[in-house]
Amino acid sequence: MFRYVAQRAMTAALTIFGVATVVFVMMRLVPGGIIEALSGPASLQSPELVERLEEKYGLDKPLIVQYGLWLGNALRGDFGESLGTRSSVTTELIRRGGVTLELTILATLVSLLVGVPAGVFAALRRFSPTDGAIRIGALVFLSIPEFVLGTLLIYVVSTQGLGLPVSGYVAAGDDLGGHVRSMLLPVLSLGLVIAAVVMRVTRSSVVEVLGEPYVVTARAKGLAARSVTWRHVMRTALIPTVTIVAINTGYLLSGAVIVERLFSLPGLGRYALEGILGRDYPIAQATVIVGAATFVLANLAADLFYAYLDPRITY
Amino acid sequence: MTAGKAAGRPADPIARDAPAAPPTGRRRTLQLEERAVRPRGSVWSFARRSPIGAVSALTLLAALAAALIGPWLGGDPLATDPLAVFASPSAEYPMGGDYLGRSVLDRLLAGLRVSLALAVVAALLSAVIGAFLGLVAGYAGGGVDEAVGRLTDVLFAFPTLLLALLVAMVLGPGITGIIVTIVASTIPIFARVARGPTLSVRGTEYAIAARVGGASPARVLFRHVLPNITTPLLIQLAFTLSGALIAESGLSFLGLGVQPPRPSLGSLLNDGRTYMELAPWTMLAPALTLAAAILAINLLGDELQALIDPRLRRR
Repeated sequence: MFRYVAQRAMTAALTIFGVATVVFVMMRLVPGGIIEALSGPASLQSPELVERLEEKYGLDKPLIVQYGLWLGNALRGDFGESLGTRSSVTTELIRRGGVTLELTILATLVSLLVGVPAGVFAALRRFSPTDGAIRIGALVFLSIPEFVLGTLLIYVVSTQGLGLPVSGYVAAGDDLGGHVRSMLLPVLSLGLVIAAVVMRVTRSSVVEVLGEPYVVTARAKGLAARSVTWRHVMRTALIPTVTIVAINTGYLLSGAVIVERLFSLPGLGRYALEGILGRDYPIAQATVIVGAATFVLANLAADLFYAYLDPRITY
Repeated sequence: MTAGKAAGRPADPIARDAPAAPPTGRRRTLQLEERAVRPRGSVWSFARRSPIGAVSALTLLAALAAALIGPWLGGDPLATDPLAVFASPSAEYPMGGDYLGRSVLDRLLAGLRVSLALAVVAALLSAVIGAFLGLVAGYAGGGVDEAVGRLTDVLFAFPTLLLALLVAMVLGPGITGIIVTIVASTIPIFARVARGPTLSVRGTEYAIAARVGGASPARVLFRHVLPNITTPLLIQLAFTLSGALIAESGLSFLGLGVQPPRPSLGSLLNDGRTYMELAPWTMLAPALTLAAAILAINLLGDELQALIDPRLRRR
């Protein structure tokens, strides 16, 4: 087990390292050159700024030294400053990370609260009309991209006068009720798509376990149907559901970019987009690295959790 | 670990590679018998056995036809008419006018054409490159196999949107970036789909016979191996197509893809949502078209897979 953990952690570290290397190379392919990418047009007016950057990133030294300095800065969490606002990218990353974290956690909760009961219900009544309806519903939600779903939600809410804000963000510290209302639509847009996946995984997993010999045995020895369902079936059947949540982190990250833009939430996704569209490269490189690292770590967690949950898996 | 994750959708193992619940023993025997006497399917018998698949196929054909011939029948998607600004749907403008007084129907047809063309080109390109890599890796084995495996692992490690941001950082927002993103994120799936069967076909007697008979590796691959893997590749192509459609429209929606005034389903939706309270048709037309197209592709893919894989069949 320890060997497995160490091995997986090693692979994850190597992957993050690889991503950082790719970003380093990409930054040097950017049109206009690295100095302009790191400082913007400001470098034209300020020789001191250029000098400072050259020193910090060792731009007059060989590429390999630059690479080392760059990795060192990234490891310390120093991603430079934004070209537009001259504010520290790291400070901004932490501030906005909270919004994205809340959005993705709440969306995951919604997906579990909707997807698991629907999946279990459909599996227990499989091939019934209810099962069919739930499955078609899941396929519909799976086919509507979150930006279409979000736009349609905004449309329904605004034309029906439901009194929900369709754009903007209210900090929890300022107004808790307003905060919940401002997060409701974004969370639903992101969560319902994943709920469809959770439902499909849960259903097929429960159906599979229902056919296992030990479940038949439990039934045959006269246990109540409810007891069999909850004590024998669910414990095994929900393992894939737990892991699918972690596997979908990549999707959550992508979805967060879109949903944050759609609902004007000040999260990491919108920060990344501002960085790319505004050619603010320090922001762009930092958000890409943080996003990739989060994704890799979540997958690592999923693998380890799976190994922990399923006693049949030994390493 | 499937089409979904790489193509901008949540990872959903159910529809892609994992079979749903294995049927009970009796059902399985019945299925095998039924399969044995079933004559080879024609279009008509597919339509009778799977009405959902037939409706989906017709929807897709209608969308393709509209995208192909629509722009010739309709007017100029860029022509503005000051009198038609936010015009309600009428005889002259069947889907109303947008914020510049352009015909929403004409823009929808042109946008559908752009979106479908991009999705088809990207998916085909990815299928050709990915299948080639998979064939070569499976057939050659050894170091080549290892190298291709590492390459696909690295590509898999990137969530689609992060890849898109990275590509946009270097290439700038635009059509090239979209195609590069979609192809890079879906190549690994095709490579995996192609590699597995290649490995098993390589060891079959007819493949060995062909080799002994002096056939070149290329001939063995294309005459003997490729025909054996066309079906999984085609199914994967269907899912990749819907993933590409989502990815294209999502990126254009974010402003990273097709640039205005050129329409695509994503950029139309982004335009339309700004004015959805004044003129809901500018938003609803692309939103519903997009959802219908993606749903049709997914349903058709599911039906085709159920038809081919007896484990997924119900009756």
